[in-house]
Amino acid sequence: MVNPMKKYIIVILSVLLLTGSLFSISFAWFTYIKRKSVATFVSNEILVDLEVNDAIFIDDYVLSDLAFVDFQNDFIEDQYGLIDSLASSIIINIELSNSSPLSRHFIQIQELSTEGLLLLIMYEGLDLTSEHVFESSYHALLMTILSEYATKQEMIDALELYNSSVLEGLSTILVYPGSVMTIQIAVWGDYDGLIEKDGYLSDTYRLDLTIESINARGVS
Amino acid sequence: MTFLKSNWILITVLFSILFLTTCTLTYAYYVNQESRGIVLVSGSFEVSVLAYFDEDEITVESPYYEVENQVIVVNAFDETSQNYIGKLKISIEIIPRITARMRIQLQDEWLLTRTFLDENGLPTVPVVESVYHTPKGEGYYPFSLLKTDSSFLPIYASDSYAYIDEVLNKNTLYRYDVIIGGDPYPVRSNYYYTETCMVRLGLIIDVIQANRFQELWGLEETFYN
Repeated sequence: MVNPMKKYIIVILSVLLLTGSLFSISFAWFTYIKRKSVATFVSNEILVDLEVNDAIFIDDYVLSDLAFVDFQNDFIEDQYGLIDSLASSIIINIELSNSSPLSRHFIQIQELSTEGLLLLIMYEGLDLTSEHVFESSYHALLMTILSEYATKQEMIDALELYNSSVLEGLSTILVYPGSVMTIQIAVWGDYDGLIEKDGYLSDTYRLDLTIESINARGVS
Repeated sequence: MTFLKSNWILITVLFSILFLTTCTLTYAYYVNQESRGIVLVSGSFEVSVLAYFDEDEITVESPYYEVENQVIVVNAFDETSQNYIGKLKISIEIIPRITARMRIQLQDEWLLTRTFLDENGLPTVPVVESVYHTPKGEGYYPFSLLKTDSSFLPIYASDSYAYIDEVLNKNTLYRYDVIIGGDPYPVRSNYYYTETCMVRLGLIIDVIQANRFQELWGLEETFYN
């Protein structure tokens, strides 16, 4: 007959051992391993700084230049050649701190308002220099995305698909510590898409941006 | 046996909790999630009217500004007067927050006051009449003796608005020197009566999102071409 106390001690020790192993296994899974002659583990926390239109992006950012456009005449046909200049341009810099491991950014942009905003998401690049020219020929880009579609709904769907593919593409880019990833979001108000047109000029519209940065070795 | 069984259940539950907590905390340490909101508000326009008699700015407290009617009172006959028409300068500054178009309308009411003298040489109740002008041509605001700056070259339309012939880019300061002085009205004074002439001057500034000029102003698509 085995002493019940011994049994408990064995069980507790097993649990502690298992917990310890779990932490080590998870730790190894999420940790970037530098390939050196002697393997060392680096386990720094991922830190990200955000900037929007050259301002520190800590709280909600208010942009007061939203313009409403006619979907067919302005957005598609660019009747007056003004659609590019009517866009609200949001430039977002995502800086990975020097102490962070090699990472990837998973970005989600969710339009929280129920009424229509038209978004065009563009990847500008990594570690841009001051000579970089930001994309501003939005209409030309829109035409490459939308020209083969006939109805508004098809075009909206195609645009959403394009934006999703851009964001998905971003998640495949390896970001080194200290690197800055830059994206641009061009936004227009869709006048035809407004459910309630009364007082639309005094309404506010909100985009919710989520950036999840994950150790590059920790995801497949 | 029942005692041992219930303890095993307890151990399993505790182990599961530990397992989940460890995984969650470990995962949380190697993942950073940032959430921010971007609030979009419709763009507006910042417009200022800068009006002077020589170097004296005309403000709402100026004796030559009628707050109630929002007009500037201009003397159009006495060049020694502080508010003499020749000293008047009006400029408009605008910073649109969205790409915009602008039109203005100058509303100048020219009032000629004639005061007759009675047989004793004393003034009677003055007679006031409006004076109208024919177009003076280049350098003058249409149907007015007010002069425009040589750099001010709008499209004067039949609806009496002057349409600025350029798209105003957002977040850019534009300045238009609209009025630079003007000619006095030739008043008369003789044995029977004395005349004076004053101008009550108002200004309408209308700014819209650049692509809405057809709908809001009723203009032809080719108006600016």
